[in-house]
Amino acid sequence: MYRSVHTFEEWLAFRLPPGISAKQERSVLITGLALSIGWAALSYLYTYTMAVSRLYLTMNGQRILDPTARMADFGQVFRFTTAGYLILAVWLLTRGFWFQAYHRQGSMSIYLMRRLPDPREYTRRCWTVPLAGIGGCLVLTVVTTALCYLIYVKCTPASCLVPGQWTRFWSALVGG
Amino acid sequence: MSAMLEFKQVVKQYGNKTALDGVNLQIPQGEIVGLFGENGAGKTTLMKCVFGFLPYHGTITLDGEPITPKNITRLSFATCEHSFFPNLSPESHRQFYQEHFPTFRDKRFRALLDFFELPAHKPARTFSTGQKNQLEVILALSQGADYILMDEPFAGNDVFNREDFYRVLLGILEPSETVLLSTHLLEEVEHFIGRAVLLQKGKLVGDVTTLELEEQGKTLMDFVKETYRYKADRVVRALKDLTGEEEP
Repeated sequence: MYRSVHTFEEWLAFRLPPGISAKQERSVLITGLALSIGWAALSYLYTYTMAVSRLYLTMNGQRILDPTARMADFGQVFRFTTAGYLILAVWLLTRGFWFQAYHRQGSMSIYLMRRLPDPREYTRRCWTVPLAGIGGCLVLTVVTTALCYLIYVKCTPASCLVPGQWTRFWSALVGG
Repeated sequence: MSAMLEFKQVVKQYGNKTALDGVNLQIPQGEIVGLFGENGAGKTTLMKCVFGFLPYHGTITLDGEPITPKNITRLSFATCEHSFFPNLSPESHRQFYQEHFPTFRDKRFRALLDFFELPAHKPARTFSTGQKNQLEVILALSQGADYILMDEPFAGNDVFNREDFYRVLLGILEPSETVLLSTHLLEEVEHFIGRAVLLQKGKLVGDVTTLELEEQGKTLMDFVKETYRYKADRVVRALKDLTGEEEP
């Protein structure tokens, strides 16, 4: 069935269990995303700045680059940056299960959902928002990783960079 | 094939316990059928099997077709567990039903809501038990289904409330609408139903029309007691066993 949807809140309203406030859900989602992005930005910039500052020596009140210093691996600098997305994704996953349980709270509205002519309606209303949110977290993780790597490569003094960072990062991720 | 809801050899087991034991039943369109039986007789289980809420063996068909999303809107369900959304108002339910059930009877919904004086814009969770039951039944009656299954829909309602229900039901039902009503209130529904079906320990043990009962000069209660082989002296005997007193 075609529905004209004008706002994000309206889009949400048709993809949440009936009776769940789309406004509240939207606020929680936006707050969760904002906190995750904020955490990613602040934690990475702090760790990166600390790592860069360790490349410098102070001599006669002047900051000079230590020619023997080596920048910490990207994986070490980056490691907790995307924790916010992970926490949000786990929360969204539990939210999906909670939406399912919601249909058994206070009444058995699951009986109504299961006798709708569109058998996918129940799943759609329980899982669209959580899965879309998890997908969003995944995309943000990729974008954040790429941006952070770009900062790492472009802003670190070239002489301090240890080659093969990208490979080392992925090897560390997959446990290699 | 005439229009009917048909159960063939329906068996449902919960572990070792048999809840439905080979139930065979035909409910033609247009009948008002009372489904009776003691607690645990299988009334609720039978209704839940119709909608596929519970897995079962045997077949349940609607006009010869298995019940699938294609024809499920021809069945509606009112249950004492309630199947509405507690956070939604009757008005929001109306919109939801209109969106999902193409044959939703808007006029009937509004008329029944007015009749029972239910607040249209308050969430259902704020209603009294009686009002919740009313909303549940109103939704089942307004869905636009041919077969309306009601499982103890008046549990918790006072007698005046129930009387209203019966009168309204008789007044609004169209000849093509079928009602399968499970209840313990035998005497109350006696003049409302056209046929009585009895379940005992998952077995169909009685099936009679109220016309047949009239011809035999029996009440529904007589029929149920006979069919259940009700032991009229069991209370006296139980008291005697408990108190140790001899019969006078």
